[in-house]
Amino acid sequence: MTNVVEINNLHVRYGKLIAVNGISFKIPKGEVFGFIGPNGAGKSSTIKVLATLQREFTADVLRVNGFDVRLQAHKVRECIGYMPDFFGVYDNLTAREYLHFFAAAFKIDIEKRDAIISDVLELTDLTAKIDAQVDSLSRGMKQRLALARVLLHDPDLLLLDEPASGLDPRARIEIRELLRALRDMGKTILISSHILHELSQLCTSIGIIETGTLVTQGTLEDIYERLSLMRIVHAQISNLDEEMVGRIGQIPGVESLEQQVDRLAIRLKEGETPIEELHEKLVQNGARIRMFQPEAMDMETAFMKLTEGKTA
Amino acid sequence: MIDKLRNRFSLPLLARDLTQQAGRRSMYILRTILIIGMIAWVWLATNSVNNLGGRTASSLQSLGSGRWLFQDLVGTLFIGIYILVPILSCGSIAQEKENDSLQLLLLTRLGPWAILLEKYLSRVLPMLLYLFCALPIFAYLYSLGGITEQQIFASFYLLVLAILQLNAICLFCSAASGKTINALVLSLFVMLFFYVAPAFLLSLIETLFSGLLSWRWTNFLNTVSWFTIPPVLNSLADENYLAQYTPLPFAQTPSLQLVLASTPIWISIVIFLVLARVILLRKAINKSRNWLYVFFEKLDGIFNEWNEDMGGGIVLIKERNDLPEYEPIAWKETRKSAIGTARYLFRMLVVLELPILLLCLVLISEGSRNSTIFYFFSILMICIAMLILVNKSTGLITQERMQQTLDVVLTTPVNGRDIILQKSRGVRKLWIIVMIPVLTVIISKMLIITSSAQFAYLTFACAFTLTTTWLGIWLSIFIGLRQKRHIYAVTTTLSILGIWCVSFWLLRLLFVFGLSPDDLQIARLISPLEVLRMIDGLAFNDLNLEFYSNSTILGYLVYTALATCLIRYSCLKQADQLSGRISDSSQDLKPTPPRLSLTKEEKPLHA
Repeated sequence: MTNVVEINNLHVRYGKLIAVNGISFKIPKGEVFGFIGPNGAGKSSTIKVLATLQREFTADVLRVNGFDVRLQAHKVRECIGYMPDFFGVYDNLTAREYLHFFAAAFKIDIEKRDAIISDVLELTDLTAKIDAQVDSLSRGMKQRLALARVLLHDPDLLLLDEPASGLDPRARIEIRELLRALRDMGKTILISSHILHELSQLCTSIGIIETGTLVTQGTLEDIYERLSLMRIVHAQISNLDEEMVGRIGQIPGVESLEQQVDRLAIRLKEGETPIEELHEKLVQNGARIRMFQPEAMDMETAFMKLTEGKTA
Repeated sequence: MIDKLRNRFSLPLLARDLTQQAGRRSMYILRTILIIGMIAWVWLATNSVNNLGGRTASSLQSLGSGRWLFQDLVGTLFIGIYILVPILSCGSIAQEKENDSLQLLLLTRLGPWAILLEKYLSRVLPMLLYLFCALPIFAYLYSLGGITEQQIFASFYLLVLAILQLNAICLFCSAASGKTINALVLSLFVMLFFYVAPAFLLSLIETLFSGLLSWRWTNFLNTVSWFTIPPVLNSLADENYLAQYTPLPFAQTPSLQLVLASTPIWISIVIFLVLARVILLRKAINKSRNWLYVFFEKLDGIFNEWNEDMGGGIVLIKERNDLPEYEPIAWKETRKSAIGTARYLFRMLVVLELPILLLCLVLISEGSRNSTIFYFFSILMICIAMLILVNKSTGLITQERMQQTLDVVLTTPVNGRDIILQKSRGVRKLWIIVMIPVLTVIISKMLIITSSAQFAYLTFACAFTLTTTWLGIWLSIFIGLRQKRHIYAVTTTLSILGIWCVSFWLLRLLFVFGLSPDDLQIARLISPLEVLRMIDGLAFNDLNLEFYSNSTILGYLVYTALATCLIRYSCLKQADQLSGRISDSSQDLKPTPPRLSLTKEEKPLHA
């Protein structure tokens, strides 16, 4: 599979401050790569390098779509769509004028512009707002307009820096759905965020970055397995008493138990006892089960385990 | 009890502002430049004094030279104050509004007056400190003789008053504006109006309607208008003209007489502080709007009303509502920016040109005796034009940076050179508009001078105006590319232009007695103000100066044009680099091998 992004040993310095310290990763075509890390970890700096907006850096390899970012910046710009962590919209234009402005900047044929703009507005669900002043749009709409702008020239790689930051829940869900649609269209996406739950639903692979260093990368399953993360099963047992709790605690593979108001949270060691087996063993121990719900593996746990919480 | 008193009389805002200012890098640079400048000045002054009577001359021959040096020093200090105070003080309140912290301050127990006065003192005290640095030089010059304690007191007192008055003006403008840049531009206009307009209007009334005001009234108004300007009062006090100029009491005690004569300055300080207090609350909550935009909006309403009443709503210029084709940035600058559309440019032209045209017609009808008024008039118009152009040109890139839209534009395939060239289209339109009133003044003056001088005057004056403003535009764009904030770009550009304007004067000051008349003539071509004075001299057919003037003016035009070409080339060549993206050719970027280990000084982010 061809790699759309190839980074090897990237260093970015701001004076004496090291923002990115030897990051390396590859993003194959069609993949959604989630870039996770706390504020100031080096996510935006890495994305800026790929967007040709960072002049001072060193890297052994730095390619986008096979083009060297340092030597073929012009070609790189034609195949990327960059959305910064701020809106980057002109408030005094209408949505139509704004998109035409960038269509002209990307040198799209005049004859094709109307059709393309109509398509991207439809995709971002902004068709009704085509003649609205950008100033009058809500934050979520502005963000969707910025996404529409990014899609105008049909880039191979989308660089999205915190696309959901500062949005309300509805707007956040709308953006997530939009990104899913783009993923299904086969776009390669590099997305940075610190809203882990959303990335876990969207990304095919992730990279966790802290203090300029990539602490881990791979698919979610790989990472969970690598970390030997425990899984949690929530169960409601009608005949739960001290004795029953003691018996459940003795089941092999059970790490710990936590008695909550209406349920029992059973923490399992990853890879030791499959969930189906736990259910069987609970029944064998005489538990009358009213509810049995395994909790999805969460990225927050992975993130907390992998990072040390170093902040400014 | 002590804690209560301390709380009662603590000045938190003043303490915070002074600490912040003391920590700024620009202030360190300013202080260093000031100290180096003073040391250099003392060294040059000593050198000049030593050379005064030749090597064999006794030190007695240098006695009395302190007077000239003192006058030059005070003049320089006044220039320094008039350049530095607006730059340092305009952000005092406007910056709080930009950070949305003024409303929070107003919610505290600090009253509006406390906020104002603490802000005022926070800008006045550092300037006074800089002024105190000059006191040892005053003492040194006193030792050279030629000046009295009274003159030192008068100059020092008026320098302090200049600081107080300018700070009051800037505080008022800062309170009236939502952005620091607007406050700076407004303060320059207010200063121009406050210092120049009364005297100009009086002389105009005297010229046009002689006899309208009685001699006493004219004399009184003239006195007041001049006495509100500290440098003018200083020169009058220095030459002992105060008593002759107006019948003031305390003739035996000149210090008291000076204090009395400075009453208009004190009154103006109080007026501006009260105005600042009045406007502070009114403008504290209002969302910042471009005052020029608001002005044109109001004007729009009046014009539309007249048009509806008298013309039935005729539309002469219909604004095109088109979309960009292949030059989107030029389209945005000329169709969508506030002062870029044909409609607004036309209105601006009407506002600027109509009164000037009327004034010029009246002055032309009066004949050649008004030619000196035209000289000051043309300086005023060029200054206004330059101010408008600098504000617009510096904002081309800095405004995009501040609105966070530059990065988005930089990731498009439009190259840096094209971005700058397309952006400059809007400035070019504006340039044509602001040049029309300046050229009106020049042509009007040409009509009243002798016919033999007309061609030379018109050619040189037009060439001077066009080249100087064109240089100003490209210098502004270049500085705008390098600076992150609009206000810094404007102040840097205006400072450079200001120093350029008074360069001849500064050069003469540095080499007080060292320049021969020929050297002085060559040095003249550096300063646009001097060259403009020479062009004005051509109008009087001063044959003695004609040869010198023509060659100097030509020299000025050539070097200004060359400098403009050089700056423009540099802007376009380094556009990508200065705007912060990897250039298309990328020849300037050579990958350096990464270091695997960090030195002791280097630290990872957040580590």
